[in-house]
Amino acid sequence: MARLQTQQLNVSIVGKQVCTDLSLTIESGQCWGLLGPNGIGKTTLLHTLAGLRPVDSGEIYLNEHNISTMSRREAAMVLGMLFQADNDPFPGTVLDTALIGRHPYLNALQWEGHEDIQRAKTALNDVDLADMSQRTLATLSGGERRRLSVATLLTQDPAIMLLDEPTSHLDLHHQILLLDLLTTRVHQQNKAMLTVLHDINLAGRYCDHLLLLFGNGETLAGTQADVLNELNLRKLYGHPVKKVEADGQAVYIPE
Amino acid sequence: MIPPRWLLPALVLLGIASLAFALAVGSVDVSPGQVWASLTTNTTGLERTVVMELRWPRAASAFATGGMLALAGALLQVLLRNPLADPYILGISGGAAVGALLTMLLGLGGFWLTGSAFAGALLAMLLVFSIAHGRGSWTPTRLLLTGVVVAFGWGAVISFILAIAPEQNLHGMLFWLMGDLSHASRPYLNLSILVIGTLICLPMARNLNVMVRGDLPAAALGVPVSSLRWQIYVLASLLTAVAVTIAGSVGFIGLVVPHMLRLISGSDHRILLPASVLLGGALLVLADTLARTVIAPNQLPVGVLTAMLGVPLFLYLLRKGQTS
Repeated sequence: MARLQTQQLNVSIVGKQVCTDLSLTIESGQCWGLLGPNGIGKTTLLHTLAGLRPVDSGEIYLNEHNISTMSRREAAMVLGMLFQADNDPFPGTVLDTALIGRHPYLNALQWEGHEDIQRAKTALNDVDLADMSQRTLATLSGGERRRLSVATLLTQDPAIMLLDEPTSHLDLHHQILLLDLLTTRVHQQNKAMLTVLHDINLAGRYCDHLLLLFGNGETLAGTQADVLNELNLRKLYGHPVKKVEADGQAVYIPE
Repeated sequence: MIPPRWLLPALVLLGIASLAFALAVGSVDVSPGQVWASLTTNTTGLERTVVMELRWPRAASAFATGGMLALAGALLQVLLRNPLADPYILGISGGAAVGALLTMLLGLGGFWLTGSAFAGALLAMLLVFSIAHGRGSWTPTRLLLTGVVVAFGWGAVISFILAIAPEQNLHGMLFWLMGDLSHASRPYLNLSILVIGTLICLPMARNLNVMVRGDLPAAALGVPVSSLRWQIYVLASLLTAVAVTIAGSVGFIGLVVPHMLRLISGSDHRILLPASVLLGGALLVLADTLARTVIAPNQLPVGVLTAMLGVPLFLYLLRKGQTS
């Protein structure tokens, strides 16, 4: 099933073209990586795909429904987004923050039930925050706060996950733990994900498909085998990259 | 942190206690039994007149005003995503004050005073909204800056009026500016506005919990952000307009009550909004009762008392929150 589909999508920001006539299909069970240099429009593209900013032209479909016909709440039951940064102007606990993920499923006057709380606790457990559920946000480190945002997304449990640099602030162990967790979800539960990554080797390890943003609207989408090579990466980042083999796996190192 | 299941019942009791205190205390001695009799039976006599015609309208209006200010403060803190926001930060009280002081300058009172204060508040609300909206987007920072600058403008007009006002008007003007409930009337109307305002807010409460995390994250979780913003702005502004119309610009309650509750019980607006109404109401009733009794037969402006009660209480909670 096509989880996320675009047709002839044009997106621009402050006069800069992010993608031109992008037609992309992300099927269930696929993990896509979104690569590109700083300021090329990766976040803008993710926000557009989530329906959070208008398209210049073209169509976006979530689970084969046109996003322009869906309410914000309907979209939030299908698609979830991990933002680049988190903003907590007011105090709150870890568990309450994870529970926010149940928001689209509850009616205006409905309170979270036992099952919602259970989902949040499971998600906290999955990201290694189980023993911190009553801590306040101000006491969390950057990496712990990041994992909490992932837990909120897992509590929301959408079929399509858009992730903006999920590994930022995370130590090596938790980068692997988190990407293992997310990609396993995608494969086992037939979800789909599109994630911005700056680490080519994590993209190589976890993403079966890649979307590259070159700037000026030029994009390249395809399977990892077709897209990930020295030539494309050099063009993408404007920096020479060398491929080496380690334990039978391709690793890219900057020259 | 106090769990919600204790907080709300405790605040209901506090509200009732504050009203009972307000009805029983004053220059005429009324025993608790006489207060009860005045409330429940149709007796006649001095005690009943004092309780039902002097103290009750004032206490009930104080409760309504305090509740509205605290509720408006909690809403604006979400709208501006800033814990330091209060109902007056966008200049609504400034507009009301200019309206009220102008009528005092012209020697008018009663209906004219109330009407022009309310009209001034509405004018201020529309002014800030139309300037902040402009073309382009409506960010909290832009709204906040517009409101604060417009409030300064109102402040200048207020100072101008005070400077040119004849001496005999100054006392009344200063009392109005500091907040004064001695002219409060129509208790049932005021209380109904508070109840209606609260009932409209409660279904929004969980949306507000999500909205404090930012517009985009809230939208991604299904919150209709732009329509919710409008609703919050209009609702908070109207509540503030009504409150300043009843009692002038009573300071401190709208800023500190919601913030205090966030410190002791967290930021779940489903609890925070009703709790703010109850605590704001109770605090203003207590402050007003003290305002009319501590230097009786003279009265103090209630705004002086709200700050005198609130500042130490708030600092204590802040300190306790840091150490725990």
